[in-house]
Amino acid sequence: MGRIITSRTPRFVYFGACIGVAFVALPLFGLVRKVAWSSLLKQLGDGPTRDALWLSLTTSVAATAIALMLGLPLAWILARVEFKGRRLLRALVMLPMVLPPVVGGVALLGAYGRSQGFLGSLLFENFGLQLTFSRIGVVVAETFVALPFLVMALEAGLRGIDPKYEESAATMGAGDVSRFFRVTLRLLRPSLIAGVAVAWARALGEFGATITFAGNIQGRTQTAPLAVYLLLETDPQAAYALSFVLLAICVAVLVALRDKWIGNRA
Amino acid sequence: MTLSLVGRVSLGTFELACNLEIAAGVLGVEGVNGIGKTTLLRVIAGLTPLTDGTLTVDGVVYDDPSRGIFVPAHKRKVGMVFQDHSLLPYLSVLDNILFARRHRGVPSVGGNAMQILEMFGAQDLAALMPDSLSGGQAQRVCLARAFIGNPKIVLLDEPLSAIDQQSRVDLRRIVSESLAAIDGYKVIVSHDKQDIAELCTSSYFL
Repeated sequence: MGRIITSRTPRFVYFGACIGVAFVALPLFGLVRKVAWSSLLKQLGDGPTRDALWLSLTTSVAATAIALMLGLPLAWILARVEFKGRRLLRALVMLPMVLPPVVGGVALLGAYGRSQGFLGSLLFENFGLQLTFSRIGVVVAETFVALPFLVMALEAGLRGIDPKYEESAATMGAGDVSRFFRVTLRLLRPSLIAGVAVAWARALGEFGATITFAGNIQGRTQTAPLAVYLLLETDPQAAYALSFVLLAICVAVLVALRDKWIGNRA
Repeated sequence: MTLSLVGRVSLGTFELACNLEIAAGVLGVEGVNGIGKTTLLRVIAGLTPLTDGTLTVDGVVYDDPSRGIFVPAHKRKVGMVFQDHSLLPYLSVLDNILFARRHRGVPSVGGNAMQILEMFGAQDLAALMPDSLSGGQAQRVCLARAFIGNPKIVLLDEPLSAIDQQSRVDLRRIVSESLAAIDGYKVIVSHDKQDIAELCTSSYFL
């Protein structure tokens, strides 16, 4: 392909990009370098570390599943139903993405806290259900912060689907439900996978809202990020080991996504 | 038994008014670009609702906004060839045909997918994905997809536009035979005078 001379990349752009790469890569190198490889498995198998990792994996998967069940209908409404206040609704749903996570945690306390929350007190009095300081509370906090990432990816995906496929399916006799599962969801697959991945990564890394709303109880609400933060004081080697695992999981997800489902677009 | 459409569609600045009645035979719709030939087919298919007026098929009201009646596309038993073929991109040619067959609730009699592909000269394409088809090949597949399962209303939007001249004569004959086998309403939009002349029994100018 011919190159156009005016589109030649100026040198300072390369320079800026190099600094940008270094800015991201150096800390990662710093992290990997501090991992004590010989005792890595032992540290990860250690009680609190193992509990935290397991708790993080299970709650983040649960949170992503709930976010998907809520996010898909929301994205559909935002992308395809015209109504007054749609922009307002979108802003509301997206808010947790820009909100400081601690504020999100405080807001959750205001709603679902056992004594402070207007809903939480009802839940506790009527059903004996307490979300704060519980595993469910961790899932609630993670869902709260992860949901907007899913909605954003799915809304963009839905807007990108050419209606002609759903229309031709309709003329073939496919009803609403069949079209949803066999056409729309199928065409949405790349956005669905990308959205699930970023939402899950966000849930896995959740710190502020979790510690504020669910607390930091080892074995119950202490997720991996919370454990890393505490271990840094008491057992830095374990903190680095756990951090490395979180890093490795995220890299693995990125690589799998790129190769398997999103295609090899540069 | 007739299909009658008296009404108006208004989409932004676009306006289409029509008054037509279809009985037996094949109706050819003619008119200049942008006049609304495709929109007319979409109204009959149930993809674009009438702004006002009435669409009646066999005495059953399909669309009448003043009475709040609208029969959705998937309940109209339509077989349609779209101008930009719109085969489902993640299904093979054969699976596209089977998708139509399954959703039209067709028993295997008269609905053999391979047979109908063969009829339109597309049997060798069965395993291919839509994005590897040429325009003409895609049109053959779309014709097969439109005709499988005896639709009650057949709507063909420029069905032969991408077919080369040599195969056009053959394919026109096959389409003509397929149309004759359908006991329902048949509408064709085409720019090709010969298509209209040979496939249609009457025409409607927009």
